Amino acid sequence: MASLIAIADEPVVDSDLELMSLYGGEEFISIATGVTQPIAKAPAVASVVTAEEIEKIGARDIDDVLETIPGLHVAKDSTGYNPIYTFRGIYAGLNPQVLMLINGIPITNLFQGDRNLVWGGMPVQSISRIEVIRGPGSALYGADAFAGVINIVTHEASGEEHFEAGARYGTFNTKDFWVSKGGSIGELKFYGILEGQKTDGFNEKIKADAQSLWDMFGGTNASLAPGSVNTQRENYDARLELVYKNLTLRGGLQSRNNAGDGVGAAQALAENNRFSSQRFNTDLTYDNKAIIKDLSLKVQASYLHTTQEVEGDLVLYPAGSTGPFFDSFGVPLYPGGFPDGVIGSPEVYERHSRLNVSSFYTGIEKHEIGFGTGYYYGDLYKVKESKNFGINPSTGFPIMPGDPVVDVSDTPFVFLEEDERENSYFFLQDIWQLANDWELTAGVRYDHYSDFGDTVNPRFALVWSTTRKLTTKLIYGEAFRAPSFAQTRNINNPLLLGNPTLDPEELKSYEIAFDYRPNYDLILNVNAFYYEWDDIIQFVSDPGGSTSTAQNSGEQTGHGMEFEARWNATERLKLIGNFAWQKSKDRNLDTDAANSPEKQLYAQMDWQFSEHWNLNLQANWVMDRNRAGGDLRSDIDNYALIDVTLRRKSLWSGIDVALIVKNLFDENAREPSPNSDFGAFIPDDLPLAGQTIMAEIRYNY
Amino acid sequence: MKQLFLNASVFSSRSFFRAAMLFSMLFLSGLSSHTVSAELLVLYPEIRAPFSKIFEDISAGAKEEFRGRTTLVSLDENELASPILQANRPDVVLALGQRSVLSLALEKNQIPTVLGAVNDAQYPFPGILMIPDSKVILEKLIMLSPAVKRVHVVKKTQGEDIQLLGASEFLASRGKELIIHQGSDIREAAAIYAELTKHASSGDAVWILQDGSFVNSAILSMLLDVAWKKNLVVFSSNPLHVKHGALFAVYPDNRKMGASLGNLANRILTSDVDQKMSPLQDVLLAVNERTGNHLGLSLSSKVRDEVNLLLPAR
Repeated sequence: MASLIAIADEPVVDSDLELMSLYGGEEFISIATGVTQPIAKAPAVASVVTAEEIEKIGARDIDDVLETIPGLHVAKDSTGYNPIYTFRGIYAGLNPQVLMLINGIPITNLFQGDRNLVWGGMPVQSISRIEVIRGPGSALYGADAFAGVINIVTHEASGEEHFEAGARYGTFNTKDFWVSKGGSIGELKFYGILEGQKTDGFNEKIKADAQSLWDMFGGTNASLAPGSVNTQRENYDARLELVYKNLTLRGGLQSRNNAGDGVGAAQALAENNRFSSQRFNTDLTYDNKAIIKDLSLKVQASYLHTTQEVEGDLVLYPAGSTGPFFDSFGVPLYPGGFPDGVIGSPEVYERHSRLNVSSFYTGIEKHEIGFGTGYYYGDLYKVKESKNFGINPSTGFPIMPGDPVVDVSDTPFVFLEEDERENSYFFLQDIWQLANDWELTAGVRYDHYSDFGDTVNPRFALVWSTTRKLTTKLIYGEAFRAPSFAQTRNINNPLLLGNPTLDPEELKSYEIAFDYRPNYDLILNVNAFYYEWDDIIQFVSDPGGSTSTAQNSGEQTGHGMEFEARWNATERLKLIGNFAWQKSKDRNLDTDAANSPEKQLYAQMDWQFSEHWNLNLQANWVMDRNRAGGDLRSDIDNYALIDVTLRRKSLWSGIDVALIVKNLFDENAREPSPNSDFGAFIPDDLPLAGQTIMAEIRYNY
Repeated sequence: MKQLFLNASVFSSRSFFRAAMLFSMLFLSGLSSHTVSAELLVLYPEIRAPFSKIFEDISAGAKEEFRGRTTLVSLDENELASPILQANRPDVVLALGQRSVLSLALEKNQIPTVLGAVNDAQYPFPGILMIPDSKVILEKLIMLSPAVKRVHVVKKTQGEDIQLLGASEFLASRGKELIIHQGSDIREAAAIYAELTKHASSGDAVWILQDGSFVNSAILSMLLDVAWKKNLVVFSSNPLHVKHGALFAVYPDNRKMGASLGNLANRILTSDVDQKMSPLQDVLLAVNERTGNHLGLSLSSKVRDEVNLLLPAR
């Protein structure tokens, strides 16, 4: 055997660098070795954020990530500080106009059409990537793919041996932990993760609340304002994915406990209100890329169980309050007030089952034809309520202040009817290579709903490879948003009543988008859009009464542009920026649409300044948010938040540490609080968290 | 040094493991000498993710194919293999990557050795280079774009380029022509590219060699611009070029390459094998769909099945 001494004098070649060129750089090594998947074609205005990018910006929750997407702003709802994902000027309190999917499966709740009133955020360690489509997608995704679609893709069971554990600790006594493990046993691949988040919540204050107003009317002094908002929570998330050949079985648990109510369920502070929500999902997917020649088949059955629960009693107005009960002269009906406060604890339990079959056929030259069908059964099967006002079902007389809380569940006096909804649908899509450089994607979906009938939604996207560097897209799409059960089946609410004859909201959207890549390190995206949003469901005052009933009464149009630049300035320095501008009009009031930022500017610098050190800076400006018509407050202030993440990789073998500072300069940032016939209950808007500092450590092998 | 006993992970202590092995060998030697399996030692560099995955996959492929026990040992920078060899006493060594090869270098190595994941054809050992066989890459060209008549390639003037071995003959056998242009530096190469693309027409293709074709990003950009305008095929063995607009590239199929190395390790124990490095046969194919659409190539489903990584249109 020959000796190798002869070559020992050669310089040691860095194996990393040598291999880089053979596989096309680090990005391609990850793809070539199956660690990441190439990003799928999207004939849409779409963004993808990968796990690596999520880590770099020091994100803890998906909202930290979603705020970085051009044209998407995460506002806050007063109840529970739930996120309002605002795309292109489309803003509504419960945010049912945005479809959120986890691994392609909707998590929409029937009650409010949102992602649960006790959402409680979603941690990011289980996430492989987040895909966001701006604009409508009902032709493919059906209901609620309206203003935008957010698809959260969790890590898949690739068979890769992997273990990671990590923890964070920081301001507001915030503690995060996670443990994940992946691998394979024979042909069975698995991935599992457990994540926990616990926080006392930030303690920014509001000066006045709804009770302050009732105090003024009723001469009481019950309000807890000025006081802190309640954003504490304790979350546990678990996910497991098993893959065996063409079969994938997933299970997920989202447990939300001890969750604060923000500024109160009725916009009145109450110290001890706590919500919880237990959400469980599972799905079984059979995916065969070639069941027969040129034909793929995917069959997916899924189940989601959700709850909205109250821990103890939910105090709507604090002790001593007269509640919102006044006669027509403005005199309190219960002048002595409620000694324990006005209590109403609504609980909702839902089951959702889905079956979806889809195929792609590639046997016709220049066509890729997709088709599918499916069935959905949603059951809001249990409504519970206990309260200390309204009618006592067992006596038929009003419950008086000082009386104990009465359980009105399963009586005609409960706030919401239990009911179910069925939806069956089919869709057809063709990706047609019209000519060299021209591709047309045309799709249509028909949906039948058991409660509100039929809807057909088309979508067309023409993609033109204009030059080697420039791609142009023309997109037209229609969408619908299914009325929620609160909007169709609300009863016995002292203020808001449902309307079973509601139609879905509708959207028509036109977009033109340009993708320009002048060189290999720079990507520029620009798009312009126009939309018409019709049949907006709003609660309209009933003639001669104190109640409002849901009606398809609103109409809004909007237009705008979004710019995005991504520049790899050097191998180690990446700069990202985007600017979004929109102008939307409430057609009924002929005023500018309220609450969404008309301008948004985002900048990020990611700098790997030495082999193991990474510095990430982010700045986000939120500007020009209008008040709703009739809201007499001056416009809400703009704000700019600066975040910094400093990360040290491989501090010791397999150990990374990071320091994450959000809102570095402790900016007093606020999101708009809603207006009402009485004016805004929270006049000085909803404060966001001040400066927060988190330390992170993670270990992986 | 991190050591993994793949077939005996239950043994936590090496001495216990050795004693057990010795005991079983003594015991089993009375029954049949053939039941004692051969030992393969795989040496690979300890490097960070995602690069480490390359070696993990190659090792896993080798382990699957090798008929016997496989032990994997990762090497830190400048670590020598001799203590590892003494401790493990393998029948055959598979050295992956330059670092592993160099770690063996100071040894008067008498153990049969196979090399992988290296790029130097001069090593007098059986092994597989990271350089794809020209025939493999040209077969992909003909599959994707059968209308191509001439393939242009720019190479460094000095010496033979192993990447071109057999290319001319293979193309000739398919009725096509290989035109080799030679340049001595990047300026000359730029002029050659400008000249050849000026006269090129839609039957022409340009082949970018691994690090031997003087292509920097400015030249590549110019080349791809002209190729777009004149409907020329540009192909490469760097997937990054595909992202930038080349029609296709091949890149190593780590698992299969590992299996081929495992097979080589089997053969080295039982028969004579050529003491030379061979070009890579086990490759995957990356295709730029946008460029394919522009060229009017219709990727039939049969062709699509051959594509491992389809970089989608924007």
